[in-house]
Amino acid sequence: MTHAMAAFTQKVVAEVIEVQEFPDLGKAYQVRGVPLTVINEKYSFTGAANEQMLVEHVKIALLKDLEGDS
Amino acid sequence: MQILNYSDREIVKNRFENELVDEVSITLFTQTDLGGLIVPGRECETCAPTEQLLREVSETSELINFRKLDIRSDSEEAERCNISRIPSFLVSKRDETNVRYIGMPAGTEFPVLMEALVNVSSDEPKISEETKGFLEDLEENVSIKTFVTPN
Repeated sequence: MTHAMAAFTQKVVAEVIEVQEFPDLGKAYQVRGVPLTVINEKYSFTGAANEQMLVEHVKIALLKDLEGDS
Repeated sequence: MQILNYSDREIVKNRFENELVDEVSITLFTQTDLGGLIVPGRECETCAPTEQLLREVSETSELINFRKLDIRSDSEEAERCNISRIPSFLVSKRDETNVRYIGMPAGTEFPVLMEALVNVSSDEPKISEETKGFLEDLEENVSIKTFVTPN
């Protein structure tokens, strides 16, 4: 799903990371369950999300970015 | 020995025949095969199988181009693509670098690779009009990292 969004616009950078191969990344991002999605390095959620849920999460992450900037 | 068995290959081939539209590239960042030598600091258990899997996938359709780069000797390109780990690969139609996979897309993650190829190849990724509208209105870049395991 994230790749489909990135295929639509280059404003989205979608990266899937196989965490067993890179446990240091798992530790750095505090991965305790999969799938874990991290948006803009700050906001995260665990579990599968359909398209609509993913968009909602992105909206929340962007709002949190704005709050962090103010 | 092949990673994709005959029936898997046929399923992949049929899907790509129906769903790939334009040429699409897989750019793999890996390291030169050390011929079985184990060099401390350069161990990469999944580099060779990832390359083999991506080659096998690219052989299922003439629309898929496969390119292999060495993270050390092609360090400028790796830097441009913001790649620092191997194996990693990009799926792109031109020279975009925003559809990325870090690691080997094995097991339950294999469909992610197929979806990425289909979505990038098409001018119409499989997302709703509502989502397209939201994405078109984005004023800033959004980074989405998804951590997975192949089980």
